[in-house]
Amino acid sequence: MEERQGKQHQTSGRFYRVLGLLFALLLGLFALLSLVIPDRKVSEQEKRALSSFPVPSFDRLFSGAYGNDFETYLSDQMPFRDAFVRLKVSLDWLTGKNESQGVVRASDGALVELMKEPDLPRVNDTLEAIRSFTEQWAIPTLFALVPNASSVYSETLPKWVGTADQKSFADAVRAGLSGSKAEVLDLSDTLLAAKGSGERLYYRTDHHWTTYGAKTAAEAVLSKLGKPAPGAGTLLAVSRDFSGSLAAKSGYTVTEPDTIHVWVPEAEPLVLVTGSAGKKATLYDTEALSGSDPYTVFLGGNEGFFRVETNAYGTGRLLVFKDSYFNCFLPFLTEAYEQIDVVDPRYYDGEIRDLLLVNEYDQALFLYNMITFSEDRSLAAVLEE
Amino acid sequence: MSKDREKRNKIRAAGALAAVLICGLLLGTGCKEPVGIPAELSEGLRYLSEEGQKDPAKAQAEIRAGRESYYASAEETDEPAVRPTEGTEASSEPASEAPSIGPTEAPTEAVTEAPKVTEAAPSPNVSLSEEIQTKNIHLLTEEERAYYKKCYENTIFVGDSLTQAILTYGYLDGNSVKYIRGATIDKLGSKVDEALAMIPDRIIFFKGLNDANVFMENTAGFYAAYKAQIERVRNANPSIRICIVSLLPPSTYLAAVRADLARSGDFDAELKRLCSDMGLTYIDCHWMAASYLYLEDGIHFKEAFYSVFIRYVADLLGLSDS
Repeated sequence: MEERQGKQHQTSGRFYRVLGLLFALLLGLFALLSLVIPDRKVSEQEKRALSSFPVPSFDRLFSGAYGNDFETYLSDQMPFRDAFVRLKVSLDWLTGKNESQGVVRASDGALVELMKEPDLPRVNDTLEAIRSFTEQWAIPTLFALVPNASSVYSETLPKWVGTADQKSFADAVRAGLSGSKAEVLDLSDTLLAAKGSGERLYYRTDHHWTTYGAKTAAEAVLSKLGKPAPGAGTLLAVSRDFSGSLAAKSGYTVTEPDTIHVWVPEAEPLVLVTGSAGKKATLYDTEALSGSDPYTVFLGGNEGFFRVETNAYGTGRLLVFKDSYFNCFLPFLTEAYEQIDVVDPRYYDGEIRDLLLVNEYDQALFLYNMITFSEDRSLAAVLEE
Repeated sequence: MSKDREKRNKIRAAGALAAVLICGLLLGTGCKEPVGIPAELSEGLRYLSEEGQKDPAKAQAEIRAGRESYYASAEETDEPAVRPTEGTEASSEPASEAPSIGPTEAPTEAVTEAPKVTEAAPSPNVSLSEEIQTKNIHLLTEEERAYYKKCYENTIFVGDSLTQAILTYGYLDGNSVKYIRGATIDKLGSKVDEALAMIPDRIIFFKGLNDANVFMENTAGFYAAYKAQIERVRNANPSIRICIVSLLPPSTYLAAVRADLARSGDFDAELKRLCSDMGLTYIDCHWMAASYLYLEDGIHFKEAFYSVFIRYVADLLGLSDS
């Protein structure tokens, strides 16, 4: 009896020792792996830049910000991150959770990004910056605000998910710019009206609008800018197995991938694009189709500044502030302007002043999708410089 | 007892199997199968491939020519929408005289001897040399910086830290400045290629004493390495005008303690010879290198130097209005 108890005691003692050892090993293994495995700059699955090792500074160390930075760094650079993201989605699905990383599966099978409640004071800071920009430089300015799929296809969303009301967000933007020289164009009605056509306005797997969506908006935007609608042309498919950022970010598997179209105008314009990597005579980057983010077939992705010159002589010069929704929208502008200078404030490190002082822009266009604009901090920084 | 152990072993084995399966599943889901090109994409992909093959140099030339003729005819018909055209300065640049003349003490010998130099300097910029002599140098204002960035839009500086400073002082943008710190001329091939991708009208080499430091006695090697870069440009795009900024000496203080750098004049002479041999524009900036414009290291220059430099070169090459 005693012997047996002693034995049991011994077994459980060993059990705990092994358990403890395993636990320590697991911890140590992951710590070691995150040291050994080189940091990744971007996540191809999530299609975003991962945070890199934060450089400590006194300010950040004592304000506690450094701790947060470091935590983000650790979770971004965790070994097997992509696999764990997929594992989490499978578990969520099993437990009946239908939202992953702010993405839901709509009733038609499309993935839709939800919009968080906007931080209106911050948005108003940006709007103030736009207001003073238009006053300082006296350029006729149009602010084109693009709704997202969560608003245009709201009826397909699961009933209980929370997403900000984009109509009222657009109203807030309009109110914030009222009395300024910038006119606000909310493209919601335009895109809602185009739903009947049966063409997809947004990708099923990606957070961007489709080229068809951009084309629909282009007619409205150009008419507001006092320009004729884009001439005749066709949309040609260039990829039909596009799996975009939402599929990657959410980890949801999508049975039906997307098709990417490019706009081929009948009267092919002459274009010259100057970016930091040199000059090109095309608005497209074909190689991107086989890369990790096929949407970057449009303009080769986001760049801080580039200039497009065309043969539409005498039509005027446009200055654009934009997010990536603009990238597939640009081809519709080449007949309307002879020079289009495009600033993506998220990546821009030059000075807007320099551009404005020496280039006689006839008009300025801000083109943002509502989700990006509601979260943006970079535009105000670039405008207020 | 042994049954217990057997049972435990079975559980362990099952656990290990499950772990392997889960790991395999996790890793396996990341893989994708390759797909062939479907027929309905062929037209679109053909369009993209045609687009990708378009020659940007040709497009640039066509757009410039088209723009010029459009605005020329618009001017004739007195239309109000007339803009100043760009890229026309080549035709309006002043006819040849001596190709590179500093305002005051410019050494005229080597320069006037250069027979094949294509274009020439305007008359010496008296006011800039006065600024230097009176130590009263005007630093470029915000507006002037913007103006000169525009002037240099189709010009690219290639070089080392001396070129980098143009960017650091905020006088030009990254598109006009390609540099590798501490690089000798033979190491700048990648930067020359970056410059070529911009299809500029002119490339200006502006380098400091790294070459003198590394090539030491070997001026012939220096000449050959420089020539190779010039040929790289010529072979890629013969219409680009190539300029070389004179190799400026170290400060007198540094020259006294560094015999190797004190020989920079020999290398500068090689540059002049190269310009003359290959028909390049030698931009003589010795007159700007006043002792008070050196930084403490005796190699690099203060902002005031660049304020003069940027204005002088723009004037010399006919990029600015003045």
